[in-house]
Amino acid sequence: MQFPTFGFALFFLAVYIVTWALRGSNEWRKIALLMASWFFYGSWDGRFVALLFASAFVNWGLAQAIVRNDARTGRWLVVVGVVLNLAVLAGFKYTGFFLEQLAALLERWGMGRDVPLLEVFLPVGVSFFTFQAISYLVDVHRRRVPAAGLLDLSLLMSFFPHLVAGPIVRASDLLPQFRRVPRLTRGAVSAALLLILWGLLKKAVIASELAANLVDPAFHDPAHRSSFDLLIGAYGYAVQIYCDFSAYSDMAIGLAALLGYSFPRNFDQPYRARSLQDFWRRWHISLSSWLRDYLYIPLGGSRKGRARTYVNLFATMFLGGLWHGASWNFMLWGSLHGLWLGVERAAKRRWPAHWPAVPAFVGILVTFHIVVLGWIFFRAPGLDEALAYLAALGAGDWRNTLVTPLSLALVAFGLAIHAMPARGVQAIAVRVRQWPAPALGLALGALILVVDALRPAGVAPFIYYQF
Amino acid sequence: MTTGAEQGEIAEVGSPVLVPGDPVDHRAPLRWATVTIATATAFLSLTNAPTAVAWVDGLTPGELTVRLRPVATAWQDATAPVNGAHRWVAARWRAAHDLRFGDEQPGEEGANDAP
Repeated sequence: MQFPTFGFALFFLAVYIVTWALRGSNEWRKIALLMASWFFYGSWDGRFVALLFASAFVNWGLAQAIVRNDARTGRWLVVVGVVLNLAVLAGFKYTGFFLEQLAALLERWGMGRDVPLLEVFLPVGVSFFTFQAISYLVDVHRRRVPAAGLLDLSLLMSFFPHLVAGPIVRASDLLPQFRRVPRLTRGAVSAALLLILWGLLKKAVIASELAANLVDPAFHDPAHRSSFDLLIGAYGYAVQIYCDFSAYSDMAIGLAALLGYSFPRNFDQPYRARSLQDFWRRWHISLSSWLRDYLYIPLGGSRKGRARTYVNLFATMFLGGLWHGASWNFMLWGSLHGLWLGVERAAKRRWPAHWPAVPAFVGILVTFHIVVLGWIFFRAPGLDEALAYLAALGAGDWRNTLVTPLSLALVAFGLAIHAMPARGVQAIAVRVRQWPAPALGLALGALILVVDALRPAGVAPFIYYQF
Repeated sequence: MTTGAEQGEIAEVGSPVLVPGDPVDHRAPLRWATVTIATATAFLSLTNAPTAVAWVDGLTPGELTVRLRPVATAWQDATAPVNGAHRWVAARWRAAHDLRFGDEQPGEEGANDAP
């Protein structure tokens, strides 16, 4: 069940009616939300629900044990919890890849054996809820959040708006909201409806159109495309992945807000970043801040000398790449980001004080192209394909065999929205909340109708479902 | 440690649904939201019935779909006079879709035929 579908709209309407009808009892309301979330998750595969419940149960038990024991024992329990959560992630996500690499290595050394190659079904959203569970255990141990009851923790990990593709909502953000029946405000509802509409447009129209008619053909067979096709194809993928992933976050934030809960911002016009460090404060903010708080800083951050800072930066981004999946491409993508963050830091340190600062537009252009270079590795199905793409991109054939006026306009639009004033949705929401409800409903219905008329038949799954 | 770690990420980066307060915010917000959603739903059910038929057609065939399909089809027929807007917008979009700079071949078929 995907957000921009008729089936999900029916599901959400039912959840909205039931949860607000149950506002007299916070406990029953949360139980209804948990059941709805498990139904939503079970629509992919019912077995995944058992995994989700088991994960919540084990983490609940560990957190209870952490608060009941002294700090030393608590630390060991956190270690056990982190290892267990990472084992779940590794079991589903990396086993197949490592066995494949082992088989290839043994073959190369002339010791070819029948290594059992596993076809492991990856539960959607496993990377998101395991990271959420890890940060919960660490936060309980450090007394940043009190240990939650089983219902609250299960709902925190299962809450359907963020379940399959984030944002990774911290316990410190959501658990306090679960303790009371939430209250709506017209401003939050207006912003929520605008976010859902904006997300629908970005996913169902821009991302879907670019994927089908520009990006997929460019990456399908780059050797037979011109450099111009591949350049616009790479820019197109930058716009596609932004419109796809930020659309999911926008809709998740909007849906949660209609049920009365606030999620943190997850995107903030990332392609207007002036440096890669700035980019990571604007792109998938919940993951980058998670990596900062639960990996980079515990590794020592920038507190243990210059060399160690570079190593920590690289390790954080490398593991961030690996989080996306077990492939050499994701590792290279993460490594590229880690290396460039190091280059930026070194350049900043050595930049002579009497030299003028780098103009903002130069920083934006350089950062954007580093990000686009990374996206080529991220999107290509394998390392050979990514290298073939780069080779064909540098071939110097500037004919157009692929790019249409519509796809070019959508790429331009997807980049132009980064030049719009920040916090645009909130600014419009301030005006919209003054409207009479029937007028807003008609406007909303008409705009959804237009988006539906523009979208291609069928909607491809969100890119981040695979992570 | 960062604000995000200590107090949550909303304290650090904010939330797009937190807008500056106004007295209108607390004027029957649940009723206002519900009427808005109900109006949009009614509007779409009148003007976009083919989507419901397509959804029924996409369900796994069974007893439920056998019962739902005639209802969805009858609703589509009954609302056909007000479905024109969707068709009109879709036709304009298709026309924009078919525009070309030259003889480029977008789409998956193009990928196989390209030079």
